[in-house]
Parts: sequence; structure tokens; C-alpha cells
Amino acid sequence: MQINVNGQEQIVESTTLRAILEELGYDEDDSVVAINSEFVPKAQWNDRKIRPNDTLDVLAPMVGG
Amino acid sequence: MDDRWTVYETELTSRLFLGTARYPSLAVLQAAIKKSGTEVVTTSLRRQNPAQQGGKSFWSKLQQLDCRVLPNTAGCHTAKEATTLAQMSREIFQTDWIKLEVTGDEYNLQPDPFELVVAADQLSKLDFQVFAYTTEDLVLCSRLRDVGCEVIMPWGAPIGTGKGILNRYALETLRNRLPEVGLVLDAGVGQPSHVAQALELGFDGVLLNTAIATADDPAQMAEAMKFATLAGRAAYLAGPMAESGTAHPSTPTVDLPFWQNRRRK
Repeated sequence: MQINVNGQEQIVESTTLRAILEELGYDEDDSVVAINSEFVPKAQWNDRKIRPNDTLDVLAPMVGG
Repeated sequence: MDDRWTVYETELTSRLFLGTARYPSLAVLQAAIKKSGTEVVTTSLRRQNPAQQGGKSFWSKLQQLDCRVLPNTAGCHTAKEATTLAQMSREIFQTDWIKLEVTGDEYNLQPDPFELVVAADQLSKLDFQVFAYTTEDLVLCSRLRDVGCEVIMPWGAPIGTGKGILNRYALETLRNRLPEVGLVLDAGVGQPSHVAQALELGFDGVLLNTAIATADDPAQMAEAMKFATLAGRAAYLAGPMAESGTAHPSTPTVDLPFWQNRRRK
């Protein structure tokens, strides 16, 4: 299915959040996720289903002022 | 000078908070943090690229320093965005502290006062400990206090301008009218003298980034900022003299010589 991850269209085979992050090569330890602008705690990643055209923000720690 | 202070039940020794952006390298950032003596550094969250792993190096190095992390919500334009980003920050940085930023104007990065209060209210109800970045408006800062902000961070001038304190009267008013609130000057600092001025006014601390990060020698500037913080705070505690509109001789005027040449005018 097609989803949008961090502003880029992606075709993925997996259907749950954790599996998709793994499929796309994201480092689980340093990632936090929002789906369609809603925060999804890590504890829900295994069960959280992703639907076609969902938008994922996968964020990591960065410098800031 | 033993001058500890408390921020949301956390005791701190340093009154300087440091931003971590715009440094020429992570090594320079680490050196500046050490020289400044700070115990609190700010961070952010940004979109991750699995191929680059750019944030991993930063985060692992930051964790090696003995500092508390204050994540920000920079780049958010609505209360909803800020609340979501704060929740994401809490999970990865493992802290209830959040530096709340909600931008209302892109040109001078001025906070949106209306969304700011809504966001501060929502975050306080979610048990966040909010450090609200705001303009120096008294009513706005009072509203932020009313919704649970124990620390309020008014700007001295717009972010990254280095102009110092543009509205001294308003900042003095905040200190006088909100004595129970922790006041931290955030943004606009360019020189150590600006830091000292804020502390002299009775502000509890200063948060700065660009003035150190873009100095020719960031570590040396970090140390200068530390000294300015100590000087300003010591001066405030010492109780500065009252300002006067007229001159007063400091040398005694009794028994002046050449009295015979003086005529009363």
C-alpha cells in the first residue's frame, strides 16, 4: 500500500506500524511517531494498523534552541 | 556564592540554560556546555532519515553530559501541533519538561499568544511542566501563570537578533507583578552584558543559543556568559543603588578649599 512517511510517498508491504518502520530501516530506539498528526506511543506500535494514504511523522532527537 | 534555585521541584545551581543548535561541530558544542557550567540544555525533534542517522550522534553525545534536557516545540504553529510534539518529546527524552513554543509570525518568530495559552493549558492538564516562551506582555504572562506555568520565558528581542533587552520596563513590570513565577529571559541575547542586565532585573535565569554558537570562540563566549550570569545575580542580591535624575558628589563637600572664591549663585 502507499503511505506518506516524513513527506515522501512510500510503497510498503507491512501493515502494522512497527513492521513498517522496520521495513523502511528506521532505528526504533531513536524514533517517535505520529500518525495523521496524532502521537502514537511506542507501546502501541505492535498493534497499530496502518491504512493506505496514512501520513507518518517519524522523528528523532536533534539540536534545538 | 551558593545560590541554588528550584525549577519544578528540581534544584539547580547554574542560572544559564543553553540551546544546542548552530554550533560548528558537536565537539565545540560539548566544550561550550562544559565552559558555561549549565545544567540544562534544549533539544528538538525533527524528521528522521534512516540513511543519515544524523540525530543519533547528537543524542548519544548529549547523554554523556551531565545535563537535564529541555525539549522544545519549535516550528509548531498551533496548540494541537505543540501538544502532539510535546507528547512525542516526553516519550523519547523521558522528561515532563517542555519548552513551549508556538509561532504566530514567521518574520520575527513572534509567539502566538492565543494558541500559546491554549497549549499551555492542555499540557499542564497532561502533567507536563511547561516553560512557556512568550512575548513580554504582562496580561499574557499572567494567563500563562493561571493555567499552570511555573516558569515563563519572555523574549528580550526576537530569536537570533542579538539585540538584547528591547523593553526593559515591561520586563521590570513582569518581575514586580509575578514574583512567584520563575522568569527566564529567552531569546535576543547577543552580549554577556545583556545576560547581566536580565539577572540584575531579578530574572531567575537566561536561556541563550545563537550568541554562543556563532561567536568566533563559542567555548570562551560560553564562559563569558557564565561570568555575566554570576555578576548579574550577585548585583541583584547586593541591592543596586537607586537611580537619580541629578548629580550627587561622592567626595564630601564640607570644608572645601578655596571657599573664599566661591559665591553663592
